Amino acid sequence: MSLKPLLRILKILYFGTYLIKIHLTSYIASIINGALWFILILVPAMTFSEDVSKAFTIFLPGVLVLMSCGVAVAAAIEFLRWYVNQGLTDMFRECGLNVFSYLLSGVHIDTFIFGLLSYMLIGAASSYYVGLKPSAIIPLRPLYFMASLLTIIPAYLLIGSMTAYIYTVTRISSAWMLLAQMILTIGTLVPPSTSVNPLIYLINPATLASELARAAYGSNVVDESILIVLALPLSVIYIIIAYLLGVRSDRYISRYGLEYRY
Amino acid sequence: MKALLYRELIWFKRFLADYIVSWVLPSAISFMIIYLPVTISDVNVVIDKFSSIVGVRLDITSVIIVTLIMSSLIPVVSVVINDIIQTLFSEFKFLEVSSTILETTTIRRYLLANALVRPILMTFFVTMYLIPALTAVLGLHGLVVYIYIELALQLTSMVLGLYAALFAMLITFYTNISRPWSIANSIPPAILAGSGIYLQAYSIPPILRLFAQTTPVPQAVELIQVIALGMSAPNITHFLAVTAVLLSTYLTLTGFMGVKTDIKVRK
Repeated sequence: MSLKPLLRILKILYFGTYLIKIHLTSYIASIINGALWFILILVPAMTFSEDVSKAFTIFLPGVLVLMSCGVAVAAAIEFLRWYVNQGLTDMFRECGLNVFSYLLSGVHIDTFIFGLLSYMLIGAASSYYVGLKPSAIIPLRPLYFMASLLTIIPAYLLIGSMTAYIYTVTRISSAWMLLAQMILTIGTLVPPSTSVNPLIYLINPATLASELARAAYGSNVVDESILIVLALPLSVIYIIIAYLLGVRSDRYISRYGLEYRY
Repeated sequence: MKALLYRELIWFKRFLADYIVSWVLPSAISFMIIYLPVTISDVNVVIDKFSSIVGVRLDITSVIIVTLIMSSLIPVVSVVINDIIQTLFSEFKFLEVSSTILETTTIRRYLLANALVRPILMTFFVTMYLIPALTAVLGLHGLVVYIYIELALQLTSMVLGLYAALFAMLITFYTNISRPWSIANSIPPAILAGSGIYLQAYSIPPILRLFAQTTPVPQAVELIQVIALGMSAPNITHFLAVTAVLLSTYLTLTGFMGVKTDIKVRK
């Protein structure tokens, strides 16, 4: 078996790790203002709930996934909008790096550093507001939490690639992508308990990771055995679709170009 | 002034998608704040808890109306602050139109016009969604409520415009920050989180509350809540007093700093 694809992935991750230097200020600012925005929504939602500690363990895990997958939307738009203006998108593409590669390059930082730090900050701040101990954010079942972090990766790649594909083949403004980030709340922040069949929420690629994160606190809606069975095949399917969408976006750009647009 | 008005109208047309998002986002936030707890609790418990915070017994329709009205502060604070800071920065640092501005006017006048005129238009544009929403639910009375809310928001936004102009001046002319949006994006949620929209003041960390007190937003939250609850004679003295003090302070500071900056930039 050739090691070439693996080496290529490692190179892309190495390149992405170095890109963090450029984005460091933005990351720090995003962690702070993301936490403040979530406080604005989460804390009242927890306060108005019947059982505050139960609300904490149901709503908070969704934030972990939502923060990371929200960055996927932003990263895709960055590649196709901001970098177009500076000619960087073409430069990346000439080096064989399409939007999928760009998303892949930052996925480890956006999940394990940005997502986790944001989660911890939001968790600590929310626990202060609602009068819980900061230790309430420590997962009861760390293995599920780790599984959630790992399943964020395929969800991140798929959501980013879907965003990129829609942005490339349509003429819509990037502002609409903010609405796409809102759709992601269904299944993540909004628990699947609101449907007769919670499995329907798995249409949102971020739901699986959110449910696994909730399972880490014992507040999952979809049965754990189903989550474990689905985790691997769904992750593989998400990655394949994301890769294909990245290729298709790139082909479209090769044929029709991509102008800078707001 | 004419140029500013013209540009704002053109921008409204050009960035309509952003304005639509600015109508949808606060509506979604107000919905989420009630919908999320309802997904795991009895709806009556949620109404009781919300009622205890606002101090008046409400039904579900009133809760939705109150949260929707309160949400109008969100786009006002974020759009006014973000836009005033980022426009000044990009015009002087990215777009290189500074020479055109300096040839036609002074930085002081330019800043004051930006800080006082643009927020009026932006506030009207970002809160337009309230007109159909309130009229649909409350009928003609909804229009009256909207006018009261709009007046409170307009006064708040003028102070916020001057407040943002001070930050914009410091970021653009007195520092070497390459990513001003990281600051511009963090100020609005800090003000909003410290102002206690949907929350009781005692539960807010003192540092955030103190930061929010540098703007009239906490007082606007109280006033808008009273208007939204339909109390016949809201006490506006506190809001007006704080707004007047902050308006005159920031007006003086922006004027003074504007003159200094004008000399510095022309040199």
